[in-house]
Amino acid sequence: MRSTFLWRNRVLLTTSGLLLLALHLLSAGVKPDARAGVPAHALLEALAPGQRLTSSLVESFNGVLHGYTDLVRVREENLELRRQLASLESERAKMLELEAENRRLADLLELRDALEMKATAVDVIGTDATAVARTLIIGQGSRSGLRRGMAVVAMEGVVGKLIEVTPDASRVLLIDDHNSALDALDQRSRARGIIAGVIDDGLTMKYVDRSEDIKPGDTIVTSGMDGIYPHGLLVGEVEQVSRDGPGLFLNVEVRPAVDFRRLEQLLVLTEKPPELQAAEGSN
Amino acid sequence: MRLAALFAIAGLIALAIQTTMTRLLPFAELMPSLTVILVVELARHHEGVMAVVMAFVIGYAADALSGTQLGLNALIYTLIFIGVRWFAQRIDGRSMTAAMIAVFGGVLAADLLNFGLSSALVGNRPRLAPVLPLATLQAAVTALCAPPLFRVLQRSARFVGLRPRTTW
Repeated sequence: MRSTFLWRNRVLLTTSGLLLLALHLLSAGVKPDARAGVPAHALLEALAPGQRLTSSLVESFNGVLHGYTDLVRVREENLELRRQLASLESERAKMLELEAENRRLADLLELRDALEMKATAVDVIGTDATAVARTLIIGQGSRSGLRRGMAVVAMEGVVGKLIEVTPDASRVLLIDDHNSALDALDQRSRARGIIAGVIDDGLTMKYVDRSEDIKPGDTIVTSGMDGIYPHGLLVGEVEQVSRDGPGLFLNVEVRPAVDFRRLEQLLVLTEKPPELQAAEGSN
Repeated sequence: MRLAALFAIAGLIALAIQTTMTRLLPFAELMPSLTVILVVELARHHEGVMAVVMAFVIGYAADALSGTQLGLNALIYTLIFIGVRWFAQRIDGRSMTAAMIAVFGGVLAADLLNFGLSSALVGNRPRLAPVLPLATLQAAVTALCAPPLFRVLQRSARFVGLRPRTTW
């Protein structure tokens, strides 16, 4: 058996088979929810408890690190005072953390009331496994009523949309990912365009006609035309507009309203925007 | 089977670290790509069908926690495995410098291919110029972190009774 062609070339044949399988997954545009994505789905679900644990360890470590930095400053004072201060600082850090969390949740509640839509508060438990793509992992899934395609927002503005949902974890495609697209408009001039991510942590507004009046400092909001995000949510502020080069469109750089690296609690809009519901109802 | 178990556990730990520790760092690019280090180690020191299958599986697992296209990292990691195997057969397989160069090249290729292919697949024109400095930074950080991780992986392999290949 060992002398057969298949056995002698098993590594080469396996490698070729795996490459073809990967190409098939890619070329067929297999979505993570499809049958071929079941192992990936299971993996996301299986890793969620570990990520929750690691995430809480990371936060504790962060707290210890901050506590230590404070201690170094106090070291110049006497030992007894430092011990007392350390204990007080630790209590204070815990209280501040709780207060900050309370404030964030209160903000989210306020935002939910302002949006007049059903929404669920979620926790961020992880980030993307690579440095190139921009996704987040959240610790809630279909058991909390989340579905693929739902919009995710923060108090500061739009965050992204759900691209994969398992019972207890989900993935969010951030609007600053290079493959993300969001229909938006300039609040002042009403110029419309598509917001997409650029690799060096910013946003670009594509397909804005050269004749449009769009200026640095203008506010960019969601148009509500993509059927995902409600109308009027803050996306960011125009940073730079350039008419350089040929082509039909302006180059518009947008500074996002949300700091995507500091997200901890978010709101997932669990029902469609009112304007879309009305349109669907009339159909 | 021992190879599969060892690298499955190492892969899960690497992914858990990569997806949670990034928030501690000022830039995502400062997070070393631990999964690429695993693939380079598989290509340098392990033979047979299982080694290439594990490279594919680690890539597929990364797909579960990254980006929008399933199969992208599976393809890239299998290609990195082939590239590093080709490279290791032509240079001194025991040299740590060569291993670090392989990691550097692997991360650079992974980031550029990931960005280029994922953009192309959704019909966007891939603009690699802004990605290059960030990918180079991550490749350098990963290459610097690689030697102690290689040692840990080789010790773990010996501990479970595997004999990592040291020459080509």
